[in-house]
Order: sequence, then C-alpha cells, then structure tokens
Amino acid sequence: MLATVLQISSTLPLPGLKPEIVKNLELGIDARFLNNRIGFTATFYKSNSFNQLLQVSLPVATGFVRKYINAGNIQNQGFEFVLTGQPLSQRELKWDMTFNFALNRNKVVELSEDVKIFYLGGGFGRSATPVIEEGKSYGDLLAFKWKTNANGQRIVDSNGKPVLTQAQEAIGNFNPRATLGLTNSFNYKAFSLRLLVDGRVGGTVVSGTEMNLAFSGIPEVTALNREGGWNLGGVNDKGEANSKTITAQDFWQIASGKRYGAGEFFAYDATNFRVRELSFGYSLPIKSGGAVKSARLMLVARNLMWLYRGSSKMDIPGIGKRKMWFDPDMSLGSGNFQGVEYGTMPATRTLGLNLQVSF
Amino acid sequence: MKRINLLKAVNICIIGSLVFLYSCTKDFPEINTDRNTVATVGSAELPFLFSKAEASAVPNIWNYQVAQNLFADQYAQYFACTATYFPSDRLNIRMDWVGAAFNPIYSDMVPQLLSIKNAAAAGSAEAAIADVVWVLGFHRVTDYWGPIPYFNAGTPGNSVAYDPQDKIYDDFFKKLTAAANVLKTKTSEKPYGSYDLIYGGDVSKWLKFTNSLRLRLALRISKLTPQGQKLKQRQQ
Repeated sequence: MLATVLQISSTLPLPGLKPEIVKNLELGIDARFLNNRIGFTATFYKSNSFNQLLQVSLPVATGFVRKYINAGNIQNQGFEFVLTGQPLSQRELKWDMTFNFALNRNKVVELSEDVKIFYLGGGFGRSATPVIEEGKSYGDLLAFKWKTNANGQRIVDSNGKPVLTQAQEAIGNFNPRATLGLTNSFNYKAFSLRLLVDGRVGGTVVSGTEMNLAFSGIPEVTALNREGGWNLGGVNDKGEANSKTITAQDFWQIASGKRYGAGEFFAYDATNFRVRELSFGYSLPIKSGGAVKSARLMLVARNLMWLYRGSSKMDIPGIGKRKMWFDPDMSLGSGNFQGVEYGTMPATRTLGLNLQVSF
Repeated sequence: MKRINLLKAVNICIIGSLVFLYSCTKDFPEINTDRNTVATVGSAELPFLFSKAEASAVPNIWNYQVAQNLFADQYAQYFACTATYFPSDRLNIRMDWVGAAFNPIYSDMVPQLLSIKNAAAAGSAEAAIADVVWVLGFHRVTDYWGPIPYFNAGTPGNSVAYDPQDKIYDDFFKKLTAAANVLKTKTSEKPYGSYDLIYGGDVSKWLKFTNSLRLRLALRISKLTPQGQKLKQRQQ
C-alpha cells in the first residue's frame, strides 16, 4: 500500500513578504542609596510591532485554507518596577529583600484591510476562544454566555432554564492586570532561608474541565439543588419574572453542553498568590586544605501553598461564586491559545533535597 | 613604508569584505529553495497528486464521521445516536462539523485535480479519470448544499462565486460523458498504475464506475428535468 501522496500547499504564499519591525521606546532609572542597601529600578516602555506575520483563514472554495498576511500594529505599554533592600546587614545575620511589580497594557491598533478579527484558537473553542480584534486587546476571550436583555436581566426560557447567547461574546482577557513577587532571603552563619511569594492580579481563565464534568454532575457544586430544585430568577423573553423551578441537572447540562458549553459559567478570576518557593540551606563545615572545598545541603520546596485564589466570575443565583479549584498557570498551551484549561494536567508541588559539593 | 602597508591592509580588507558580501548573495536562490518540497508539477508528480485527490473525494478518516455518519446517515436513519450532547440527530446543525463535508473537497481534492488537469494531456485517460473523481467529490457537496462554488473553485481571492445546482449538474453530465468516451478507447492503458487507490489503473473498471455515477446522478434529477428522464431511460 502506498503511503506517499503529494498535495498542493493549502497555505497561499505571500510573495511581497515584509520583515516584522518593532519600534521600542524605553525609559528607565536605576538608583541605589545608603551604600547599596536600598535601590530600585523602574522602566516604562512602549513598543509597537508592525508587519506581524499572521496566518488568516481563506474561504476554502479558493482551494486554500489560509494565507499569510503582514498585519498591523500591535502596541504594548507597561511599567516594571524592582525594589531591592537589605534591612539587616550584620556580620553574621543578613536579610535581603526583592520586590518586583509589572504591568502591561496591550492594544491591537490595527490588523489589516481584510482582517479585523483573528481567532487564535481556530474560531470555535470548546469553552472559550482567544481572539485578536482591531481596537481591542491581545488575549481577549470569547465564549457563549447567559443571554441578557437590554436592562441586563438574565433571560430564562418558559421552563425557567437559562437561555444562552447565539454567538460567542467577550468574557474577559487572559492576561493579568499586574504581576508581583516578593523574595526574602536570610543568611545566618552557615544557614540560609529563602522565601518567594508571587502572584497575579486579574485576568480570566475558563475551566473546560469543570464544564465537561458538570454535564455529568461530578463537581461538588452540582450537588446543590439536585433534589427539589430552585428558582433561578431572571425573566422570560417578554420581561416577566421567572416562576418556574429547575433542578441542578437542568441547569448544569445547559451551562456545560458537555463538550461544547457556555464558557461564561466556568470563567474564573485568575487572581492568585502563592508560596512559589521555599528553600533552606546549610553549609557543612569543611576543613580547609582538603580535597573537598565546600559542601552545601539544601531543602527546596516549589509551588508550596496557596495564599489566595480567585472565584468564578459569575454569581449564579442560589449557588453563588465558586472558589477557583485549579491552578490557572496550567492553562491550555503555551502559545497564543491561553486562558483555557481543558483537561489539563494538575500543577505539581516539588520537594527536593540538594547536596552540592565542590572539589 | 608604513603608509603603504596601511593602504595595502585597507585594500585587502575591502577586497576581503567584497568577497564575503559576494559569497553571501551568490547562493541566495539555492539557500532559499526548500529541498523538501516539490516546486513544480510535471508528469512524474501526477500519480502522487491523484492519490491525494482520490483519497479526499469522499471525506476520509474523522471527516467521514462528522460529515457522513453524524448528518446524512442519521437523517436517512442508517445510524442512530445515543449521545445526548451530539445534536445533529435532532436536525440541529453543528456548524463546525458540517464543514467536514465541504472543506476537504475544496482544500484537499480541488487543488490536486486542477494541477492534474493543467499538466495532463487533454484527451488522456489520466485527465478523464481526474474529471470522474471531480464529479464524485462535487456531487455530494451540491447534494448537501444545492448552490455551491463550483466553476471558479480553486481560484485564489477573498471570495468565490456560487453557482446554481442545475448548471453544476449539467457540467457533471458533460464531464462524465466526455470521460466515458475517452475511457472507452483507453482500456489497454494503466493510468496512474498502483497510485490509483481504487482500481489500480484498471480503465474498464473506471468506465463502469463512470457510467454508474451517471446513472446515480440521473436518478437524482429524474423527477426534475426532461434531460434527467432521458438519461435514465437511455441507461436502463
């Protein structure tokens, strides 16, 4: 049996391909005081990327699925700040601190003549789809939502079940509003202790896993109102108050649709803070002049514990908000398709013991 | 003396850099030629293209499930679906599934067949069989959708015009009749040889298939146009 076939490339080439150009404006300051015991660096930047090479869809009737374009003007501006200090600097006890803070704001200034919106996840995400749209920001997520009327009231059908939007609409952006971290290290004689706490503020992440599981009533939250049911509130399409009672099964099966659900119900505020790393070290006493120059024993723990995790963005009447049960760092993919966690492996905690010997 | 030496050194530098620049651009086309792809289509490439076209004329692998099993087979009740979250058995069209009956025809079949038609000699068995596969692929698409992009299929642009179904069916019959007439005279040839995944280049089998396809299409329009009636009678 043959295995070799030839096919005409389904990507239409771009003959007048232009190189991508980034124009960058940066303003920074690096300052140190009191014999370097305290200092900071602050950077403001604004960068515009032009002629980015994007692949956009073509109508397949052309015989091509996609083409390359040189697109647009994508602008990033932000601020980065690092504060370092040494609150204690004695002969035997030293305490060093580093605090960092960063924020970035993105704007899609321009895409191209033909393309005003560009789906980063193929256009039809199973829970949410990241999208680039002219005038909006990189990382915006679209998903099906619970339909609302002009007054912002949620709409239910004649049986009191939620009605979903016909099209995917904006539910947030997967990028954080700000990221921050704090490192404290202590050195006392042969001992050292280092603690890194970091986190992010803002951003949206959608749990496709919960969406998938909710269809079958697996997550804990689906146990509420499983028997008896409840009135979801909202209004029907005529604006009359909802008088019907539904069960948890009615609600979660509509919200989840199993594999292709309404992402808004499963969207979480990705804000979180955690103990990222804790390490404890001890330098073994070594006699000088021997074969071994130094030896150091270190206990390291990474991703140790949560200090804070955000909640679901939707406050479901009668159910409330759910605490984020997963690690938003584990969102699907590492490229453009982010902000969606769908059957992703759980985050791991690492505990390790290091012995470092120098000869 | 020193000055002369300096000049000499500068000269060598300039000449050296010229050589360097020259060598940078000398192999430019060669460096930019992808040796892992075929740049031009000649007669040697046609069998490979034909395999791809033939394998794509009926949606294959997972496309068959979403295009055929989850729509037509359920509407005709050949298949039933027990998964409540698959909506297509309730006449509810999932837009991202239904494309599997449409997209591969244009993206996987059309470009190969157009290339074959460009490169193969007119009146050859190769060109005739390519036309038969063309009809095999497109008759399913127009039966699903009615008017479809047809006569300008495979032309790059931002949009492709749709054509009415009766014009498309007229072209089907024109192509099949012409193909049958060619194939009748080529029964001793082995077009595409073993690269023909269906009949292994057996022209008499292709002839039979061409006529069967004509009959199928004639049946589909038999209640519609006088032409269809006539064809049906002639082939019985």
